[in-house]
Amino acid sequence: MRDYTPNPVEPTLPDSVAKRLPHTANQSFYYIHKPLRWQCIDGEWLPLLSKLQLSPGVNGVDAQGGAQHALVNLDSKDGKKIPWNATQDGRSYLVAYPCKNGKYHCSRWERPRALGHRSVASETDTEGWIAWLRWLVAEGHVSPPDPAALEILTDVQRDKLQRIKTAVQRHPDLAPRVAAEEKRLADMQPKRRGRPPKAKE
Amino acid sequence: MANEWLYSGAGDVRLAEVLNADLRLSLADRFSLMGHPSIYYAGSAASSGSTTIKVGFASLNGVDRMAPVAENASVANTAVTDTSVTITIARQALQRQISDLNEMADSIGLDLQALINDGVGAYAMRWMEMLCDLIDGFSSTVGTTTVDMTTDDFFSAQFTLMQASVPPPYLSILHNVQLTDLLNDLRGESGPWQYRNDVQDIFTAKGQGISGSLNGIDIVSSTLVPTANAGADSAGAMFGSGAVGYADGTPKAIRGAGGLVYPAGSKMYTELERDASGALTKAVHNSFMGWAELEDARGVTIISDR
Repeated sequence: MRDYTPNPVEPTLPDSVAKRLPHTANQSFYYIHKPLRWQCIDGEWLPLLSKLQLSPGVNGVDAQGGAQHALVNLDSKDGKKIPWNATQDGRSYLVAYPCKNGKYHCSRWERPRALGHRSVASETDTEGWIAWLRWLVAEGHVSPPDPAALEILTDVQRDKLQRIKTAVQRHPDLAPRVAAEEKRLADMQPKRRGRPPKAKE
Repeated sequence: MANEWLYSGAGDVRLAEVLNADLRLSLADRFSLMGHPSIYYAGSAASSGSTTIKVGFASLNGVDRMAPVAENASVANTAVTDTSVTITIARQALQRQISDLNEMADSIGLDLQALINDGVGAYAMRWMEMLCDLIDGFSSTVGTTTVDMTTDDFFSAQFTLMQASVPPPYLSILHNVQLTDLLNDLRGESGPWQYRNDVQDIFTAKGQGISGSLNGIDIVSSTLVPTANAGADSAGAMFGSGAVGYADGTPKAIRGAGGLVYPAGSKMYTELERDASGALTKAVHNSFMGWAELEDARGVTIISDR
């Protein structure tokens, strides 16, 4: 006999009791990567991603939310879109939470928080985020860094360290910062840098 | 004594609460950078035949230099390199609706007129939000993830622009936390720089928006600055004129409800829609605008702890 029992769905709660974030609604987005955007985290070069907001009128997104022009603009700047299902388990990296005037979109490694009626800084699953960044390079979604790009970023760090070293002559209490920036620079150097994960053939 | 007439016993002729005469606005970020010279305006798409404006760039006026040529030799052509970026405008809108009963009972100015006036702020903040949606995407970056912003990060950003030959004025948009971290680090600065008026003046508490300037660079704070690294960081920016730009669509003269005519060129227009059956009045605000990153090399994204 055919079973007509429906599957349970999320109940529609009255506004007065429905759980909503106090955050302002925002648009869905793609993560994108550009060749110069890298960051050194604990001695490992990982991509520094930015967002292509799918907000009509922003960066070529059309009135219907279509991103064709946006992706053409992105391509002209050597940018690369990260597809939503480019994750270790194939589920989207984009999630949404109900908020006061729509949905708040964020990555699945970000947990937005509310304290009463106030929004506070989100909680980040740092380990999961870094693991995903590492996976993006290993799987070829992000090309390994060009040594020239890493050299540019290392030069910026080297200049920053030099400025602090000059300042510490007048302010000895800046010495701990010198040590931290020296370590950061040392982490960026080729001999200390771990071999970037090889992209899959 | 007996039969005193206390407040607690005068419920029939006393109110439990009364409304203060002033209408106070709830705490929110209400600052926008409209009109700042570092933001390029690409024009209006009205009557242009398209909702997309193409901003063109050409390698002229010094990009290609003269070269020595022999006295009697012919000169070969040097090609002009041209590129372009498109700005697509889209409708932006906000709608409010108020009942006749609610409007009738108003005593503090929270009425239909207030909902009409609301459109101005709604337009300005949407303008600011669309600008902030772009600033996390510059190829050049400074700062360190999960580390508070410092004066050194500010200088790194400025030097990045100077080394790329980006002409000033520069503008820096930071998240509120980035700004306070910068001010905190400025407290420890010494040397001749600490005696500059702009360095000392920036500590004065100001209203929302432009917090001051350092080295001639306007600094603005906004809660609309996007996040980076899954919410761990803020992605503020520093950029010169021409890094980002916007276009709008100023509609042709529109005959709205009740015969009211909106002149052509209105960047944002409000119409009223009446539902007599439900005794409701809508205030609908409409505008058309689009934003794009124009020249990537004119900007730098500043990553620091949120």
